[in-house]
Amino acid sequence: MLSALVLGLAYASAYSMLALAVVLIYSGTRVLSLAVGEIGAFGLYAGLWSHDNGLLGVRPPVFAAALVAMLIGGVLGLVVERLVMRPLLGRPALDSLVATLAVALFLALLELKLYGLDPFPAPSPVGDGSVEIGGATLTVTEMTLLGLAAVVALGLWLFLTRTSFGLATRATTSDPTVARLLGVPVNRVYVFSWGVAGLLSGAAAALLANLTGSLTPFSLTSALLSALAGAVIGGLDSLGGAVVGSLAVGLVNGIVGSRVDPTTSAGVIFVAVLVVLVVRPRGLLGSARVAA
Amino acid sequence: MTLLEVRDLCSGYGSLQVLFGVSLEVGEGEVVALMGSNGAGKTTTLRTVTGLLRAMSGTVHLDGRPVTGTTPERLVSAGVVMVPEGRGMLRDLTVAENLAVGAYSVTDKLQVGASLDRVYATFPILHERREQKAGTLSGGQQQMLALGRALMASPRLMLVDEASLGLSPVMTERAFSLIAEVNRTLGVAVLIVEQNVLALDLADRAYVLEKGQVVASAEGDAVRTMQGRLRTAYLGTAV
Ligand SMILES: Nc1ncnc2c1ncn2[C@@H]1O[C@H](COP(=O)(O)OP(=O)(O)OP(=O)(O)O)[C@@H](O)[C@H]1O
Ligand SMILES: [Mg+2]
Repeated sequence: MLSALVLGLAYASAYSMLALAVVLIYSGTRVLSLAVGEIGAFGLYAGLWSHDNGLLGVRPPVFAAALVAMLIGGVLGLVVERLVMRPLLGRPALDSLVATLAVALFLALLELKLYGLDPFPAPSPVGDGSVEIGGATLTVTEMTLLGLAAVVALGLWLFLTRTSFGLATRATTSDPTVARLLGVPVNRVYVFSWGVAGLLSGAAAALLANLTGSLTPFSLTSALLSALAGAVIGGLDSLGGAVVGSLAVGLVNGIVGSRVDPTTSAGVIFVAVLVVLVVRPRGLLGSARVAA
Repeated sequence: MTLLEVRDLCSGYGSLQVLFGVSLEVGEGEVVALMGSNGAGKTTTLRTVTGLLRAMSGTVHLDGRPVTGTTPERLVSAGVVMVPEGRGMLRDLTVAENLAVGAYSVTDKLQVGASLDRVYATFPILHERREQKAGTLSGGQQQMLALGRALMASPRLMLVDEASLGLSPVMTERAFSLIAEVNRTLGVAVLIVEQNVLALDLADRAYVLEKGQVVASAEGDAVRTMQGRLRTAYLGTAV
């Protein structure tokens, strides 16, 4: 039971980062981004490839792959905002949604072209060690993931509540037009949100690949679907909701997935999404505007 | 010296033209009323001046310098803040956070502190409710927060869009007298956009907007005469 719980929590950590990326973008721009999975995956491919093949004659250690994933993910986020999303500001939500899907597909197909369909090995930077606690085996990787996700969520929370630009971000989330009228440079907030979302995406890619041991094209987009489920359950414009929803989804994955089977757990999750959409469309912690 | 000068402004939404050559002026430290009934184009005028909407033609000058097609962000830095229709509460943020966002363009921390003290002194209820979410305030309190928040940017000119909207007659009078007080004590010029003819009590000068055009203007004592006329005309129903 304990090991299923920890495995679930480890997945929840990765999902929560993707869900935070989704919520960060959604709450500023009302755009549901389907690209925030593949953006990080693309970065991680580059990181793992340079670990395998060396870069400028040096072979970066495997933990550097995660940093590269975050870096490239962040830059990709900025590029996508500037080149694709900015011109679509003010257009119907469906246009932007389709655009983010196109970005995800483009990146996944590029990964396929560059690295092939075979799973790309993603060794854990903290090794394959494990510890016994109360008869349950917990891997060092899982526990590192939990710690990292907690640090990331805490960092994001501190940024949003303790810094001036964080306040500007929340003001933009609450009402972009009013924020502009008060002097908040909302375009800079949008760029920044996409950048941070890309960073989170890279971190999530690294975490998930370490859990499964490998990376394939579309694997992060499929994880994004679980994260989206978490975000919808938690409330699409609530960062706290993203974490809570992802925890729920991760735990169901871990417990039902290992006790019964993965298909059942996916079924349970998406029935939960439907129930939320019908009964409380704004999600557990979302604001009323989500449902509007 | 004219603070704000709007000349022959034409504007609208997509291909729908709403303003047909609006001209008006606000002098340093003045209170100017822009009156007009529903759909006359009052909000559209303010949106175009602040740069939320792009002008089709015409010009906007601030201190004699052109600011046509500027952005709201830049206009705030230049000392012009708009208090939007419906009060524009950042509902999920606390009262104190709303005020902090109002000061976003100000880099001098001491100045922000001084503005905050002044706002809390003028509106003690905001100090009392500072940790409360703005969305939970009453309409009158929200209007105070909207005014106080605009003052946090230390503006020279406030554009106030229908402060009376949704307020009781008592609260409306309260809001108008606060606007007058802000003008008197801080010397902030105010362009007050209203349907309510009581706003003319504060005004040094007034314009009447009808179907996107200025159809009347008055200055000094003539503002009272205009008030009488408007009271009996169609605007009278709003009182
Ligand atoms: N976003 C919009 N898109 C299209 N048309 C609009 C939009 N906003 C306003 N209009 C139209 O522009 C005209 C002027 O509207 P505006 O909001 O400027 O009037 P107003 O004088 O502020 O009225 P009110 O007293 O009701 O606030 C109206 O005919 C309105 O239908
Ligand atoms: Mg209006």
